[in-house]
Amino acid sequence: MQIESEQSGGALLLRVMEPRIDAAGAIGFKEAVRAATARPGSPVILDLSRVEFLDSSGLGALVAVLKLLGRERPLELAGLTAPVARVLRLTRMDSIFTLHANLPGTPALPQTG
Amino acid sequence: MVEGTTHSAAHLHCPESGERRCLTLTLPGSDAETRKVIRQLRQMLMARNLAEDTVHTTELVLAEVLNNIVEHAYAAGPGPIRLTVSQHPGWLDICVQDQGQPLPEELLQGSPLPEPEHHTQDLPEGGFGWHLIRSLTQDLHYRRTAGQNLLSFRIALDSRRVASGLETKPRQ
Repeated sequence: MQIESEQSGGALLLRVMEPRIDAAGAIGFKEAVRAATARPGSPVILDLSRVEFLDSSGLGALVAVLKLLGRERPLELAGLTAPVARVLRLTRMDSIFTLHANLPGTPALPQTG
Repeated sequence: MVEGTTHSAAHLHCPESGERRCLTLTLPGSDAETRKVIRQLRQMLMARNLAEDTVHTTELVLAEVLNNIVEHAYAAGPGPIRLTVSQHPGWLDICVQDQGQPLPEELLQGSPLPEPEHHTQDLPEGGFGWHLIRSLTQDLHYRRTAGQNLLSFRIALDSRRVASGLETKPRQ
């Protein structure tokens, strides 16, 4: 799965470039985030504005990444589309993650991470 | 099936001959195949001018049901899945059949969602799927018969009837 990363202030912004995080893509997503978070930066902000579909496997992958990063490096979600926000709300995971209504700052030119 | 029938055997909304159908397909159970079918289904439902909420609900529920079959019923190896969707005034009847391992029935009853105050490291990475299925469907029924799993449910076409998680404004 393609993820672009960018350091923005102290934070690490990860932009998910695929439209779906589902059962077929969950493992690839976890691996791509793990690789991208080798770069420093905290919190880690996931830009999900291009993601139009998240299923329970994708949600499980988000939780796995949250746990992987640990308490010192919070995972925050930004740019939720309506279907993604709905899945988080239905599973009450919207209270687990810090959610940003808007994407932080003005993105610079994307870099491949 | 006749709406309003109360006999328990009639609770499964699986197709009988002559029933109006909008889709019947058989697919080999795999994650990649599931994704392909779900995308086709989405396009088909969009073409029927169903509300975006309804399309997303159907897409999500079927993704969960099919993924569950691939991962559990067919854990030992892939097998066929038969999916039938029939449109009625006000709802969709959906029936999914497979020949894999029986479904543990407690999954239909449900387990509580994790409490938000739980320590992050204790959060489960799975178990959300059946919660989503139960939250977004009506008339969910399961039967094991002749070596087959039959799961049927309804999805309301009027998005205002969909339970919690409803998007704010129903589209016409």
